[in-house]
Amino acid sequence: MSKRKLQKKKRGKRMKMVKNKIVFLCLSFVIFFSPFVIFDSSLAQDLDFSDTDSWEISASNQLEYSLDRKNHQDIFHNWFDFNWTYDLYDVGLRYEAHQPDDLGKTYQELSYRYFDLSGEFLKLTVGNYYVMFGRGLILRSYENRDLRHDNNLEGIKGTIDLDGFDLTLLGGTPKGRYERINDPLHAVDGSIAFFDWMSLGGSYLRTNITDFGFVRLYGGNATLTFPHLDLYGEFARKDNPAERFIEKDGDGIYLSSNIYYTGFGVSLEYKDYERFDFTNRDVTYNNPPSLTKEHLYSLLNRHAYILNLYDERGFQVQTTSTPHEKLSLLANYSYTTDHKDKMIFSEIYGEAEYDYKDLATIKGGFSRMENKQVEGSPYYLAPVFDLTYYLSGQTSIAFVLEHLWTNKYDGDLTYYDQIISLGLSHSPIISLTFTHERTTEWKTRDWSGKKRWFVTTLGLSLGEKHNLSLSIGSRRAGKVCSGGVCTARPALDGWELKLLSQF
Amino acid sequence: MRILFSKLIFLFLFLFIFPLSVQPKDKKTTAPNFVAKNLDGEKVELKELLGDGPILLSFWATWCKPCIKELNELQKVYKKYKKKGFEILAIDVDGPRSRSKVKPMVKGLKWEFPVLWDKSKSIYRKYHVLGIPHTVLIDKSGEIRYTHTTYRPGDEEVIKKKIEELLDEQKEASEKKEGEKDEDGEK
Repeated sequence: MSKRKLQKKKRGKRMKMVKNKIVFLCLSFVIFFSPFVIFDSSLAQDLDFSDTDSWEISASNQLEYSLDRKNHQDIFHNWFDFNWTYDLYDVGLRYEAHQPDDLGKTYQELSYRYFDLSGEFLKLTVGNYYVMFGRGLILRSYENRDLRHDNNLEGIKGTIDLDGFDLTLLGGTPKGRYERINDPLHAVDGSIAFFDWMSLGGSYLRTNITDFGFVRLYGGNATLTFPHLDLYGEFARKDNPAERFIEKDGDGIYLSSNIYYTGFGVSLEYKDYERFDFTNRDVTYNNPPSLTKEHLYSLLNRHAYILNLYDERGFQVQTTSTPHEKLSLLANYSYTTDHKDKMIFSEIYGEAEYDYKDLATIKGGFSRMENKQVEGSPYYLAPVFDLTYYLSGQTSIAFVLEHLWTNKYDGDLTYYDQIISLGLSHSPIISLTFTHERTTEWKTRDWSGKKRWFVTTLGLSLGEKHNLSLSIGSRRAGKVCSGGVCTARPALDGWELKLLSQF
Repeated sequence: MRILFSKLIFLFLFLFIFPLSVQPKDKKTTAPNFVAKNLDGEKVELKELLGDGPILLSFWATWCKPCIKELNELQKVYKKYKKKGFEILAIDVDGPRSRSKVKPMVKGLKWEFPVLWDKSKSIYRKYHVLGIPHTVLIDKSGEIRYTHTTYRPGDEEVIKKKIEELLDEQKEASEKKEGEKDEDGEK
């Protein structure tokens, strides 16, 4: 590209950034100061908000800011959502600012805008939308801010929803991490209930991927519901372009059954995914179940399994029971192999929770996990202990101990990570938590980093509409995982502020 | 420097002006209507349930520790006030990974209130939920009277108080209505 063209492109980008900032600032001032105008007592008397035919306006804002005092680096994220609702109509938008984001990139944009028309049986969306077919084998478009994931579609979606029958038709282009992928996709999903206890469904998706060709995904699902027993099965096929003979077509199967009585429930699941990954640059279109436990504790999620749709199969079983009104139990076993039956991941986990005389809640758990995705193919042993003591109806102290031994099969390499946290909370306004983490991994290899981290977190509820969280100290870098999808989380050595607001 | 300055502006605006945007007590917001399926696949619509008593929406997921704690407490609240017309709708935002564990968990923990699946998180977005657990208390005419994000042990006491206030309001309103009917009858 010539120098002149490059300069013109840079100028264009700068102008766009300035324009976006002006739009955002104007919008912000209108929204921030409108409550003063709208809710000023003299004006409020003239406006009748009890009229059900009036506009409803609502908004929310999520702000996250962190400053690393050592490297003088900061990260700033802000998501502002706004919508108007009037009778059958709903219009909304989202403005995001990342200055910079976790990967150091600075940008701001109107990332989401839509117009919805909702009738009794028909709903039409023009603009951006999210959608999931079945259990996500064919298509799952969703937002998860903790994972910094948003693959919303931009286009049109129509849904017909009748008793026993529903149908969704859509067309759109997906969003990648930083820009929209201009490869349009078209899809249809529907289901029919034949009896009270059975429904059948099917989905079809087609997209033309640049420099690759047409890709189709299609499949069917069945849901059977009986007293104390539910069954669900979904099968899907992925057809790659005929001319790309190297890439064979793929298959995905997911089965689940639930057995339950009052006080006892069992969930059994099976998966088989082969050449079923469906990505386009940095966009993943589908997100089937990974059949691994999503834990409630940090260390147990630290070496989470990452879904590999190209080659995996396995099963998971989980039971939940309450044998006594003060005691609840949970047990989980998951096992994943490749198609050559080589084990990739396994975990066995159990926990028990007991309510002691309304004075305290005590929970103990234990996990044994093996994850071949991690270098050295280690296995992990992790006990957890969680105690909440109630000082009064609204004040409590919480103590949590997590311990994770990492053992590698190639030698006697063993080290542990440990997290201890102590928190005091007074409902509904305030909580204060001290969290200490340490590792002995430094004994096993060259180590130039920290061995201990300590962070204090203050949580405040400012009225009903605002929640503030302020963390000061240090926190280890790691991964944030959800549903088999992970993202890197940078270390913290400074302070971090989160503010959630609703209007 | 410019970026830092704009961030300071954001922080100033959000920390100092937002608290001033707390709405007056008499300002009510209509709860957005929605339709979702319960664990048995039956459709449930919010507006069909209005009219009997207060409704509490609780957004939760199986992987959210404070959500489970809160719903265990709300189960006790549900048992206490259900006969007076109070209803809880637990809106589940689990993704496909944990979806199949919902029903066994609900039955295993003996929760008796309806649980609805918010498949594409459309209800979550309608209510501008930013984190879970998130609770919304709606009165019988469909107005939102209380919202709260996060859970601290003891929050259920605040919710109980709000429910009792709404039930008292309801009782006063129906007694007033009956009184007016009697007067009209006498006339």
